[in-house]
Amino acid sequence: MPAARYKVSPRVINETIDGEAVMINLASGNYYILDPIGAEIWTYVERAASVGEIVDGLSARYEGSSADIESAVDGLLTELQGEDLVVPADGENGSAHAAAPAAATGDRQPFATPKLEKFTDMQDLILIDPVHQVDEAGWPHAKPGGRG
Amino acid sequence: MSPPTDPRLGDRTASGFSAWADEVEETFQKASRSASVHDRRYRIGGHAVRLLFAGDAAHERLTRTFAHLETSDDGEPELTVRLWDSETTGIGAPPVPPVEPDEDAPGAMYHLDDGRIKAVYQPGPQVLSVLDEERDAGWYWCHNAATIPFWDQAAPIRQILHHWLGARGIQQVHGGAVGRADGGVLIVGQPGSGKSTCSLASVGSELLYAGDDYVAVSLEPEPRVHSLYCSGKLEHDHAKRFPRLQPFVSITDPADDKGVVYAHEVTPEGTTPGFPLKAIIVPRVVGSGDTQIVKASRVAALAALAPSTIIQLHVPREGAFATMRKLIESVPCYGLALGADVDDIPKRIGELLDRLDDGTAP
Repeated sequence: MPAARYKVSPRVINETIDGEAVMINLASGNYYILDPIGAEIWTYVERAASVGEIVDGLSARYEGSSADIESAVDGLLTELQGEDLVVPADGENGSAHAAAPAAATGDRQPFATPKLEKFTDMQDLILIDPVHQVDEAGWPHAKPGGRG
Repeated sequence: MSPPTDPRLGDRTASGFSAWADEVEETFQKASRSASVHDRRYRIGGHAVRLLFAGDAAHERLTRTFAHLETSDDGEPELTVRLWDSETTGIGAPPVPPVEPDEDAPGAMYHLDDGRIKAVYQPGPQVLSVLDEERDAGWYWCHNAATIPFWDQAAPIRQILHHWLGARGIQQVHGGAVGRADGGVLIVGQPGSGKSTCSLASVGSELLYAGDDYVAVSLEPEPRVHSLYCSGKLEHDHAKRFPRLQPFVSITDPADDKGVVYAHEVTPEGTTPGFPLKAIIVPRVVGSGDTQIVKASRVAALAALAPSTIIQLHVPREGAFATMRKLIESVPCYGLALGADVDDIPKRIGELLDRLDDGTAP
């Protein structure tokens, strides 16, 4: 579905270091590492780029068939959505035109399926110490219906 | 004796939250009129902090961890925090949210942030922390100081310091730190990674101790570690590996899985308010063979530091993750494979610091 768009879930924060992305899901306590190609796809998601725009951008930078690249991008986005790291952004306008410029022909690296590593060792802290945000009506009103 | 009233606290605004903070202050004032008052001064993160206690119990239990940062300078403090309990002072609780404790989540926290007033209430242990950033005033109340959980005794007013120091470019992190006056290391990792082993193994060694669980870091003008607490937490079984520390372990409740050791009580000269940061260490328990230093990737160091810090900050300040990423980028990162002998740990760290100084570090 090349027209589908995704955006970063509001409960996720992330930083990129040495080309790899570290993401933390504040709701679940799980955290993740995306390898460099995955981190590059993540930067497209941060701009709410469509799947087609992501595939076009990667095809210009990596050697590989469009079909293989699209399959890998779809696979990663499905995985990211399954982990509540991204959510659909259909109907929103992306800014993929601001993505990294394509490498010159001959400079392209071989495309490899992106890898997402998941770490669950912090889950218990969320369960043991859940944080409840107090309602905007003020202290001491508890958020309606919410105990986390 | 009543503590001197801060004239800034007389400024009652129309804001509901700051008015609530006024009510918390009134409760403290009542408590201070019914119990002995203790006025202690510290330098934390390079800033003058005053802790005003109403009642002996809170004073006795919550000052041990700050002993290494105490100062005789009684000049104008930059932050004043008032600490008390109801059981000792006989004064009822300050207004807190009418919430029921989560039966299956005893550590549940109710968090408030209106940009100026930041507060956390834990109905389980009945602990309230409040910070008024505009008035540089904080309050820490608990129902009974005698039953403050060991983790709060080891690291009191953590949320207050997190926000107040954070506004001054000093980021609280989940990590230990040991080193020398001219430089040391930040030890990062998830629970069970050997972080505490590394920190506590250094108590009484040639290295200075800056913390086990929570320290603070700043990036300007150069990366620096700031000690917040001289405490360290030891699981009962794990304490056997530290015979030197065993006589100093405090156990609040026999049912607790950990005791607390205050490094300043073990070696007053062996603690430090902080030092320049020279490297990040990510430990890994091997359990046999020699303890060894190896190069580590920066993404591994960030993954070892940031998630546990972010999730335990309740709630992190904006930009905290970026600060940690910049910290990791500013110094070299190493793994530390922990072998059989804990006494090797400070030796390997000391050797690393020597090699960083002479340019031969990996």
